[in-house]
Amino acid sequence: MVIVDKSKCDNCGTCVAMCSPAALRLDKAGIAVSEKCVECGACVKICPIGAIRSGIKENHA
Amino acid sequence: MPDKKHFNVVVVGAGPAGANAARHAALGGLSVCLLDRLEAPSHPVRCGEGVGLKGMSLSVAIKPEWILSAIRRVKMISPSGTLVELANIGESYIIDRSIFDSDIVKSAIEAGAEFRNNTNVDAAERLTNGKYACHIGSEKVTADCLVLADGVESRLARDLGWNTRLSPSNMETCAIARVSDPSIAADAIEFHVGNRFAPGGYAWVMPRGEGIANVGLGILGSHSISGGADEFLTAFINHRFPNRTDLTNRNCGGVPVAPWLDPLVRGGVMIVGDAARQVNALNGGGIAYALHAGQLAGEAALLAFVNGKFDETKLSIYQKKWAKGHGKNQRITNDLKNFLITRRDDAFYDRIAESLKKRKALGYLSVFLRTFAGHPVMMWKTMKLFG
Repeated sequence: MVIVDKSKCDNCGTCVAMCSPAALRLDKAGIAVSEKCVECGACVKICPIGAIRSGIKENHA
Repeated sequence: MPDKKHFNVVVVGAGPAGANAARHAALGGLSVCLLDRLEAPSHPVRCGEGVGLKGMSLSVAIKPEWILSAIRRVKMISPSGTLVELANIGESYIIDRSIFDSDIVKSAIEAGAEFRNNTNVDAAERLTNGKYACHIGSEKVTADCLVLADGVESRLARDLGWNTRLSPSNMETCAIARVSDPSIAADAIEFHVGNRFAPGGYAWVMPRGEGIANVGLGILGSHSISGGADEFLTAFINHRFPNRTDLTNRNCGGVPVAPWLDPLVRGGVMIVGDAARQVNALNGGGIAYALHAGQLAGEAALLAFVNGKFDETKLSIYQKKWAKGHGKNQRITNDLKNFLITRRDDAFYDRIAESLKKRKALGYLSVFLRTFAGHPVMMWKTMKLFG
C-alpha cells in the first residue's frame, strides 16, 4: 500500500481521481488508503507536493 | 426538533455547481439538503479566480463586491521569453472566490435549501425502494434525487456506477500561491507557456490587485513526477518574481482536462462540476461551466417532480441541455488541448510569438488560429470556440 505523509498532504484529492482500483478516499481525517491499493504508483507520480510514496520501496529500504 | 432525514433532493458538495443546483431546485419549492464536508465550502481556494463575463452571464450577474480587478490585457510569454500582448479579450475579471462561493451558498439557503457543513458523506447507495441514501458516519440522509458535486476527488460516483477514473493525460496537477511583487499590474493576466515552466500545461499570473496576484501552474499528469507541480512553481516564482515581498497561501490541486463525463445522469443521480469534468480543458477554468451545469441540474430536478411524484426519466433533460450549451464548447476545448499537447512544442511557440509580438489589438481568436495554422479542422473548431 502507498503511504501518505499527512504532514505534507494538502487534502486536494488529485490522487483520488487517478486511483484505478478506487483504493484512495478523501475523508475528514485526510486521504485514506484501503487494501484495494495495487501499488501502481499513479498517485505517487501525480501528487503535486510529493506527499505520497510507495510502500514497497519503503519496505525494501 | 430532530434533523430532517428525507429530502426531495440531496446535493453533495457546496462549490459553485452544487450550491447553484441546490438553489434552483429549492427555488421551485423542492425540499433540498446541501451537504459539504468542510466548515466553509471551497476552502482553501484552489483557483486562479479568473472569470469571463460571457460565460458567467448565462447563469449569474457578476456582483461588484466579488470583483478584485478588471482585466484589460493578457500577456502571453513564449518559452524563450517573447511577449505577445492581447488587448481584445472580452470582459473578464478576477473575483474573490471566498466571497463568491459563500454568496452562492447563501442564495441557495435563501431559496429554502438546508445547508449542512462539516458533513462528510462516506458512501452513497440506491435503496431497494428506489430512493438514495447518503451515509454520514452512523447517520443517513435519504433522497429521491441525488446531485453529486463533490469535486475532482469525487468517490460517490463510483459507488453509484460511474467509472470516473482519470488517466494521467486527462489531469493537470497544479500548484498555486499568492505573491506580492511590485511588477504585478492589476489589469493584466499573464500566461507563460512551454516545458520550462509547466510541461503539458502553463503557468499563470492572475492579479488580485496592484502588486498582488494568484500565481500558479498546471502540469499534465503524464508529464509529472512526484512533487513536480510544487517544485515547478518554486522555480517559476523565483524566475518571474525575484523581487517579491511576500509569498503566502501555497496550495495544490488537480484539474480534470478531459471530455465531460457521459452519462451525466444515472437513474435518479446527476453529476455536476469538476466531478463531471465540466472544465474548459484548454485553460482549466471551470466556474462558469459549474454554475451553468448546476442550474440545469436543479431545473431538471424540478421538472422531474410532478404533483409530488418523482419521475427520474425526466432528469435526462439536464444532459440534453448541457450537451447543446456549454457542453459543445467543452468538447472542443479538449480536442484543442489534445492537439497542442501532441503536436506543438516550445520552438513552435517561440516562432509564433516572434511573428505576433508587434501586432496590436490581438484577440484569442487570432492567436489560436495562428497556433493551429495548417490544420483546417482545428481552425474550424477554434472559430466555433472563440468566434
